This record gives sequence, C-alpha cells and structure tokens, in this order.
Amino acid sequence: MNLQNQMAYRPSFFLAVLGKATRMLILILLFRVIYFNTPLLAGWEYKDVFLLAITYLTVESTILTTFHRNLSYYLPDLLKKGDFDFLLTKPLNPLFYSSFRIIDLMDLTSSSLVIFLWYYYFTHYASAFSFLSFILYLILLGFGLIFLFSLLVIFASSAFWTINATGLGRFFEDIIRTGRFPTDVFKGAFSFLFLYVFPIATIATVPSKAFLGTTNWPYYVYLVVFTFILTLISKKVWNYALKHYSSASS
Amino acid sequence: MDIDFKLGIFRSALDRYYYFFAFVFEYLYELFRNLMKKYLAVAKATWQEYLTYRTNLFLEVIGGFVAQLVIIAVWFSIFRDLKTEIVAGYSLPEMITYLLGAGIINSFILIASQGDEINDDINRGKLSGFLVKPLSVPFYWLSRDLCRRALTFILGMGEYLVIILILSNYFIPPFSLANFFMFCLAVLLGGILHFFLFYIFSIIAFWMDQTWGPRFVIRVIMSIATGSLIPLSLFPANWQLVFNLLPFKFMAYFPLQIYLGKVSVSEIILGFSALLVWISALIGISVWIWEKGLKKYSAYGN
Repeated sequence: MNLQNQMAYRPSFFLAVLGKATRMLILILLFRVIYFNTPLLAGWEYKDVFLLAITYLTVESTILTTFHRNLSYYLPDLLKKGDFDFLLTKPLNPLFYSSFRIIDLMDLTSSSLVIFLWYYYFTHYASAFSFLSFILYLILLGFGLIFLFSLLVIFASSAFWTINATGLGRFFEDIIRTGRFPTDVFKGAFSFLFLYVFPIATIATVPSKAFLGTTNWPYYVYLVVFTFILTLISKKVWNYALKHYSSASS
Repeated sequence: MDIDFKLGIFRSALDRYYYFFAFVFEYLYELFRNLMKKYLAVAKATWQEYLTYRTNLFLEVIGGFVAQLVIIAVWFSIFRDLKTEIVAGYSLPEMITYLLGAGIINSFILIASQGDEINDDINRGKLSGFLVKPLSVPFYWLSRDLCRRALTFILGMGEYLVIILILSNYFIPPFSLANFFMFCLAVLLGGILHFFLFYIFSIIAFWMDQTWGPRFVIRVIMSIATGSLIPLSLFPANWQLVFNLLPFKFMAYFPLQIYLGKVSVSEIILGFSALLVWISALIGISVWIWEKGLKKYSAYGN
C-alpha cells in the first residue's frame, strides 16, 4: 500500500530517488574537493574520511527510511487531522507505531547507493581490520541510532502542543548533518559540546575511529550512560505528551 | 495669416498630444499605483500569515546556520593544520567571510519548500479562484515569495550578525562601497533568478500531478553548484567548467566574489550580462509555459 502511494507520482518518485542519490555523492564530492586542496583534515586522511562519510550516510539512510519522517512530518500531520485517535486504538505501542508506520521507499531505494559505496570502500581504501573492531563499530553505530531516535522523540513530542512542528524536523536534519564531518575539527568548548553535551560525534566520528582501530573505552562508557539517560528522558517526555493529548481530547 | 493659421493648427495638435500623453502618463501612474497597492496588500497579508509560522521558519534558518558554522570550523581546522596563510587563493579571513556571506545568502535563497505553494495552488484548483481576481497570478506568487524571503533573510541576518560579531577578527568588510552595492544587486538578481527557476519547475504542475521531484533534484544540485558550501574556484578545472555553464553560481559564488574584490571590472560586467540573460531567458520560458499551461487548465474546466 505504501509502495502504491509513493509510486503514484512515478516521475517525481524516480527524480526524488535520483536527487537523494546525488545528495550522497555530493558529500563524497565535497570531501574530494577539500582533499584536492589539503592532504589532511584534522588528522584524517581521505581514505579514512571516506569511511566516515559512508558511516554517516548509512546512519542517515537508516533514520530517513524508518523513523525520521514518521516522527517529524507524519505525526504532526496525524495530530492536525485528528487521526491520531485512530492510531491509539491499534493494539500496538503508540510510539513504535508512530515511529515506524511508513517505511520510506524513496530513501530505501536510494540507500542501495550506500551499499555500493561500502563495496567501493572495501575494494579501494580499506586496510586490514580486526573482527573485534568491526563488532565495536556496529555497537557504536547502534548507540548513535538510539541517541538520534531518543532526541527525535523529544522533538516530535512538541507536536502535541504546537499545531505545526515541521520546522523541528528540518532543524533535526540540519543538526545531524553536522555529524558528516570529523568532530576533531572542533577545538576547545565546541569539541566538548559535540563530544559530551550534544554528542554528535556518535553519529559517524566515534564508530569510524573504532573501525580504524582507535578506541576510547572511558568515552564509550560515558556514551552508554548518556544514551541510557536520554532514552529514559525521551520516554518520559513522550508519555507526558500522550497524557496531555488524552486530556485535551476528552 | 496662412502661417498663423498653420501655427494654430500646430499648437492645437501639440496641445492634443500634450493632453494625450498627460492622460497616458496619468493612466500608467494610476495603474502602477493600483498594482503596487494590490501587491503590497498581498505582501502584507502574506507577512502576517508567515509570522504565524515564524517558529518553523526560524528553526529552518537556524538549522542552516548551524550547518554553515560546521563548515567554518572545517576551514579553521584546515588552515591550522596546513600552517599556511593562503589556501587556493583564499586567506583565512577571506574564507570565513565568504562562508558567512554564503550563509546569509542561503537564508535568502535556499528555502526548503520553494515552489510547494504554486504546485498545490494549481493541483488543488485554488488557481481558479485567483484567475477571476483582478490581479496577475504570477505577480501574486512573486509578492508572496519575496515576502517569505524577506522574513527568512531577517531571521538569518539576526543569527549571522551575532556570529560576525564573535568572529569580527576574521570578518572583512566589502572591497569597496561600489563592490558592496554591486554585491547587493547581484544577490537580489540571484534571488529573482532562483524564483523563476523554481517557478518554472512548479508550473509544470499543469502537466504533472507532483513537481517536488524535479524541484528536489535542483535543490540538491544547488547545494553545491551555488558555491555556498565551498568556493567554486577550489574545484578541479573540469568541474568549474560545468559550474560555469549553469546559472547557480550567480546565486552565491558570483556576488561573494564581488564582495571580496576577487573579480575584475570586465568580469563583473560579463557576469551581470550573463545573469540578466539567464533571468530574461527564464522569464521568457516561464511566460511561455504559463500560457500553454493556462490553456490546458481552461480546457479542463470546459
């Protein structure tokens, strides 16, 4: 049904897929141009930044295909049209259903480029890596996704109070885009901000470094605690928002 | 006697011409005044409407602002690592000024949902309501668009002024007063170019149910081809050749080159000429598509 809906405007669907794929390639192009003018970026070589870029694109594709649009755009729309009540009657967790109701097939289709980029990385740039670092990479990637999901749940909960919360969705997109560069470019207070206060480094920099063999165990412990607390907060905020919604409609 | 008579005829003809031109002038003046009144009223209503969504617009602009700050941090890092004064013809203050300027221009031109309204007006039939009103629909959309741009520009300007103050050591003033005026003119013309480009890809809604696909592709290409992420002169030569053939560089790269004084007078003249040719061509194409589309739209109604 979703596929039928999204394919209804076929030329637009294919052009959107083309646009999304081009956007991914533009990130690679941007790095190529930067490295055309400098051999190193905050200590990162091009082949390592390529890994960082595809890590970022993997995370971005995952969230765009799954929960991002559901929470940022479709949830405010449901609330505005009064269709959220119908969703509450379903025998499913409302948060789960609100977050994964529609799988974005445009992003899913364009994500195939990420697989190709991974293939390109392994055949052109990857040096030997240990199985352990790969597992660590996947775990850290998972924590990055949980961090982004929790953050977006907090953002999306505001839709229960405001009429139109789509601006927050765009804001969220721009914020995660800061993760496409190595956070080592930041110094001083900004470095602290992006590592500890608002750990955007978890999106791509931290997993990529782990993959490349640079580990930082105390930081990983911090990350686990931080993600756990943020998840708890997001759950509380969501429940509070739901409560507010129920009382508003009754 | 004969001469006086001829002079009399001449005078009366002159008077008639005078009255005729005075009448035409007055008519045109009134027409212009009414038109302005009409579109100013549209702009005023639009301003009020957008102010209701100011939080959304503000978030949209601040998101772009944060993204631009990261690019600035990247260039600080590159200059720090290379321990050099100049990278690809840019000093650090020039690069920071370029990126801050590009950010301000972005808040003026890189509006995410550009063209959505026109597309919806056509596809949801709202256009019929506009067509019976005594106003030109394209001008109506243009006034609404300029209004929205003005609002996002003011919001963007506010944010960037703070960062310009913080980075004042790295922010350099315009090359000259003349360059500054030409920069402003180029930004304004770049905005008009941007409007007509998206306008064309929105009014193809007369033939397509949804036009966001092509508009999205343009936006993606624009993100790099305007030069707002990185100056186009930093690209390899073959890429620069491609960018020179496209109109996007006039939206950010060209005005910023003028601001920094990195282009000669002849290049400025050539650039403005090309910009005007692009705008004229896009207006021509848009008028042609509009008329064709309107015929198709009216045919549906019969």
